[in-house]
Amino acid sequence: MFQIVESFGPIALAILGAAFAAIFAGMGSARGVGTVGEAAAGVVAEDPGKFGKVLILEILPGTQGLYGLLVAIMVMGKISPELTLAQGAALFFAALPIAAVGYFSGKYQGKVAAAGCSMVAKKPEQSGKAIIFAAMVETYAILALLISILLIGQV
Amino acid sequence: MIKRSSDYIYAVARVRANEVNLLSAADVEQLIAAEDYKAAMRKLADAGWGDVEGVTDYASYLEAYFAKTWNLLVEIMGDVHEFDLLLVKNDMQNLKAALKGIVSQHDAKDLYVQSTVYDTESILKAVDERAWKDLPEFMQEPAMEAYTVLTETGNGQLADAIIDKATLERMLYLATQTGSSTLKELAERMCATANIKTALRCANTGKSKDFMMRSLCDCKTISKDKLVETALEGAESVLNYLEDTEYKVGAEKFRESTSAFEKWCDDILMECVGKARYTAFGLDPLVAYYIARDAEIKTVRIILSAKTNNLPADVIRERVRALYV
Repeated sequence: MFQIVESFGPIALAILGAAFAAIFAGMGSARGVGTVGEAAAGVVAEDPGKFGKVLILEILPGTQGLYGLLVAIMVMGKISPELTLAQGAALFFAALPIAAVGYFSGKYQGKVAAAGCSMVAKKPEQSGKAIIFAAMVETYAILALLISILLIGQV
Repeated sequence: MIKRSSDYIYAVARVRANEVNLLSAADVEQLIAAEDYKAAMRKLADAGWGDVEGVTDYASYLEAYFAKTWNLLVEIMGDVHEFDLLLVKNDMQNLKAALKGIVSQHDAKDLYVQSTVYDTESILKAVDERAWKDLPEFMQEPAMEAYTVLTETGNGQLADAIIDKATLERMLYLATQTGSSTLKELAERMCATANIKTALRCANTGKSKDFMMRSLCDCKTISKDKLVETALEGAESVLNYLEDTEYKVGAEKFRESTSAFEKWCDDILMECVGKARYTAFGLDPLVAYYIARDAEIKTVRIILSAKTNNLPADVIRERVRALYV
């Protein structure tokens, strides 16, 4: 195992971590936004007046991608020719929380927000509650982002 | 291929947006309380049913209104084969009409219904030419059997019963092919209530055991053999048997009145799809919307018919179906 890690080299490990953060968190967001987009299109097709309300719901799962991007930039900022193998591995592992949690929270937040779109379609006055339900999932993406940032700060 | 619930996200959102246009209990109460037919039509217009005030032929209007629901589902789902089990009865209705048409040598064009799974023209052609093998496989045997009964005995009731049984069996089969537990339960309830209705009718008209065996289908929640056995003893025996099953309320309703029993048969289906109100994705909300519109139109038809015949509000209230919203 150590040999595999060593064969990558510290810079490659750090870059891999940054790539994971951007790829998986971005994938989660893409899935989530895609899911809500379908539901939102359905609602707007019947009632264009609800565009504003469903747009907020559609934006919500997009944040994970931004968190992944932020972590990827922070990791890249740490890359230098003096980087040791241990530091490279640490940066790789530091990027994992937002990569994994970003993917799953984006996907599931998309489902909650899509269900929220149906709620808005039937009871537009309840759109605030639909946003709260979707925002609850965001908590875990924020926690993962926080941990990734704190871990990067330790390197 | 069974679709995943995520395949219906767009369709469910559109259906949810349309559910706001379904009549509420308050709307129905206002319709019942309307002074006369014209006032009821005005209330319908207020409830978002469009320009209906000048409509005199409400039956055609309601048919066209329901066709809009079907068109919406076709538009948003594209592939609507999941609804086959709800539509196959229309194909079988057309088969019945075609068989009776050729035997009586009358054109049954007026009896044909739209929204079918199979091409009606092909079915009519196959029946006309007695080319049973050109019919869809599940129709071949009942069509031949019903034709033989019609030509040899002229027993239209038995021929209808044979086709009805085949319809129910097909519905049960199609339900197993969908991924929807609601559709499976719906098909089971439809078959069970159809069996109960048939058994009670047979008991009241003194039909033979052979007739009943050829009319009732096998379903899980109620025993066909037991229904036949009790129906031979009389309607009261059937009701006593029902009291030991999950259809106990049906027995109570039948004792109350025939209309209360008919209402219960429809309400039990609405109860079955009612759970879809809380289902976020999947086929169930779409099926529920179809059933809800069907029940809504039945309710409006009952009210308008009652208003035309000047029936009192209490009588109408007894007959109106449970609503989805």
